[in-house]
Amino acid sequence: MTRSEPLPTHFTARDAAIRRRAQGSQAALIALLTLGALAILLPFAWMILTSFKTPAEAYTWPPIWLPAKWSVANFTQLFNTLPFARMFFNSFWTSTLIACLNILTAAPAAYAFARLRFPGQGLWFSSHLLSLLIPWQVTIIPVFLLIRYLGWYDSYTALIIPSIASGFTVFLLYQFFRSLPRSLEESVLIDGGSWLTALWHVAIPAAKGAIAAAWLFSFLGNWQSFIWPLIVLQSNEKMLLPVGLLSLQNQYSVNVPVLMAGATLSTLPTVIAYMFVQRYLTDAAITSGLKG
Amino acid sequence: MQQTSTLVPAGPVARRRVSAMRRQESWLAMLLILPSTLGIVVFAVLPIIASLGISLTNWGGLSKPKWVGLDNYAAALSDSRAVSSLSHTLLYVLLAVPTGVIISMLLAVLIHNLQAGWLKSVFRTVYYLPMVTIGVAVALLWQVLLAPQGLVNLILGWLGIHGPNWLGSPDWVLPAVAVFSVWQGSGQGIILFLASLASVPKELYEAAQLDGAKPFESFRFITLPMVSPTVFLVLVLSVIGALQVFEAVLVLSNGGPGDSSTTVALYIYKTAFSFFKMGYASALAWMLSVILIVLLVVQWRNQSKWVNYDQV
Repeated sequence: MTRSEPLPTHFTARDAAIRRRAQGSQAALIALLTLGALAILLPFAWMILTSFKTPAEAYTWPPIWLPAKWSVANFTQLFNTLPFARMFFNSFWTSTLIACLNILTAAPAAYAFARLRFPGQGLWFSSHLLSLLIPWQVTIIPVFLLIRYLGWYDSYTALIIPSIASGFTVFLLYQFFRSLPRSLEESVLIDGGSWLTALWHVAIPAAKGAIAAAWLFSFLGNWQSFIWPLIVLQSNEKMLLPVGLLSLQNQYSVNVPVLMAGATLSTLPTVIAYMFVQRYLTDAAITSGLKG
Repeated sequence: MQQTSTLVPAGPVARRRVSAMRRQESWLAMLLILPSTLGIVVFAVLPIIASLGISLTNWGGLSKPKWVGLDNYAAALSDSRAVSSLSHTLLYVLLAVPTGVIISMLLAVLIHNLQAGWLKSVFRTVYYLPMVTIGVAVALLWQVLLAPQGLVNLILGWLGIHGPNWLGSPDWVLPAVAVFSVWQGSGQGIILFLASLASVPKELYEAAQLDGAKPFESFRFITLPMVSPTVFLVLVLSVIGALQVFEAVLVLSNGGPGDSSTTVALYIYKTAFSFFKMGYASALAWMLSVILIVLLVVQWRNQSKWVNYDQV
């Protein structure tokens, strides 16, 4: 749209009109998008504001925006009711560990599927895709029964072991490895190097960014994961954040400010972290075309 | 995939070297895929087969399973709660999927037409924000927003609309859940559409402008056909997600009032883990899968009518 070269003089009047119209339509675009952005942001603002209100303030009509007195009483009550810090820590370390395990299993597999030829390749790759597409309602019952049979119920083993392999992470990295130019690895092979050398010294270093993005996705997926922890973990001290919030709902369904204090504390960390890594995440979401 | 053969010259010695490399390649590959494949087979492929078997039994999960053949499937067809949960799910899909696809498409087109790069990235970041939150947390938030005296009804009041008791009314609860899901999930569609819009060649628009096309005509005859593969992708992903909606209804309404927002996924969950009818729940899960597959096949078949894969 921007024209760098000078225009003939008899065009300037028309050109100015076009530019004015373009600026007008830009303003309209920004106005519409701001309206949409408010629809996203106002709820978050409401959540944070409500977490500082008294229950009475949260129930007045018409609703008031700002609390009369900013008090942290709701946060104190939250910490007294739930081992919130503990839940946070539980969610954090399990998500970190599972994301690392996902990468460790997925990166080699994705490379093999993308680059090497071997018997059964199509079958094993489609098994990974199948695990992505099958509704969780189908697999969750047999896996739950298996976990209980193995005596893993209410243990982190039950949470972690079934999550080690991730069809999603394999697919994401597979897409990346397939897009790498072959020439780099071929030069290693021509020099008499093995595929393993090519993988370790060429492909993995080239895939650093993609691996970081896949790790973030996996971390986020586990951080948000709800139904599996809800089913296999029972004791309070093992509880993860999402299930803990649900139990908060059962105890405090009439105390909205405490609920919002919990929602605020569990939302802010990932939102803040996201601000720093958003490019990675959205780019990866595009390459995979899949999430959640 | 012929990489090894292009590298090595022909001849008997060379051929032996090729086949040795092939063998080495196969072994290495199988070693590389082993950990991941093991996990996938044990926790996805075998459970799928086991689930089919369990669906043919009456099993609480503890006692010995009792073979009942197709009885569970027959029972589901005459189980009014199962049938109504299916109709709630389909209604929800109809409410949430088209709205979500259209809104994310619209917002992506608006963002794409912004001139300032930094504004593009600001809006993209904001619209993607709900995707990185914990589902239960934002559902709790929306429960507050959708309360009879909540923020949503306050804003509707400014517009002169008297908002309903969203989550307490059998008629409004599913639309309310759909509103929540669109709010939560449209960021996904937006970034996919943005990537797709960025790949449409600019020359097409310039040529159309020279021919005197109006902006709407450019959109209808250039943008839409060019991004139609992405529309298809977003549509398929949304249908898969919406058919399995669980967390949102569990937190927002717990399936109520009555059963009016009990979806198939929620009904399966309660059947399996509250009533411990593992066989019946598995049969329901398979019926849901069949519906999912049918919907996907229908969409796949229909795409040739409107999806354009002839990229320039």
